[in-house]
Amino acid sequence: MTVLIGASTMETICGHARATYPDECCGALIGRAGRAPADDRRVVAAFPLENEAVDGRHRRFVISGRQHLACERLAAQLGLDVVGFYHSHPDHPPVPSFVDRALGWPWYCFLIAEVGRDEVGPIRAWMLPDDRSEFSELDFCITGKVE
Amino acid sequence: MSPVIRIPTPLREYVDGSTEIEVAADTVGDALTQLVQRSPRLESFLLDPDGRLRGFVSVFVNEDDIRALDGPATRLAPRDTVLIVPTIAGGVTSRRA
Repeated sequence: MTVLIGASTMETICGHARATYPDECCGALIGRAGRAPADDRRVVAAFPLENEAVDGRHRRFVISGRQHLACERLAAQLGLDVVGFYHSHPDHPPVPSFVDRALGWPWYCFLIAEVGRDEVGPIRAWMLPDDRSEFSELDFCITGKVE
Repeated sequence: MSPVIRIPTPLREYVDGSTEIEVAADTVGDALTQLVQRSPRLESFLLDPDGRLRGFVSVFVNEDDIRALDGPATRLAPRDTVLIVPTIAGGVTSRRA
């Protein structure tokens, strides 16, 4: 599976990561998943969301069920699905932590952006298997526009 | 018409791809029990080892989070929709990942 994502959507994610540094940012990835598990994920847009972690937002993020539900409904209005989520790792590599694994869900793709004081990147894409044993890294491709 | 449970995308493969499942239940707890009995692989996603709703799963009845109602004892009316919505969380640890 490859995650296809538009350049402007990547800019949205990077801008969000810069704006919230040194706290973590988070948001939803909206697009099309395809029918087969191996089908490419097409990310049409990123919806920046509020990090609802009660404390420690420099190392934690939470997207409540209510925010998630609002995204699902907005995506449905556009004929799309919530296909994944993104968050930043301030001053840490874009590799899932044990917290990401413990609290993550299968099927969704998770983009993680490393962010420092002056720059964003690298960004890597991951997915949990059904048994949540270990994240697998996904290929991702930045293109001009994804529909 | 009985209440329906709307299945979140990550869990649809466990219910043959269904987006909604009709249940004959009077409460949210009964509805979830029926769902897990029908599709036992859902149990680890929805319930903890004591059979309680996992902390990172939100359940709504129409627009209302059941935590603001009566929790699993929340009563269901015939046309209600029960929505299972994952809470998404994570982040770096206190040490380098």
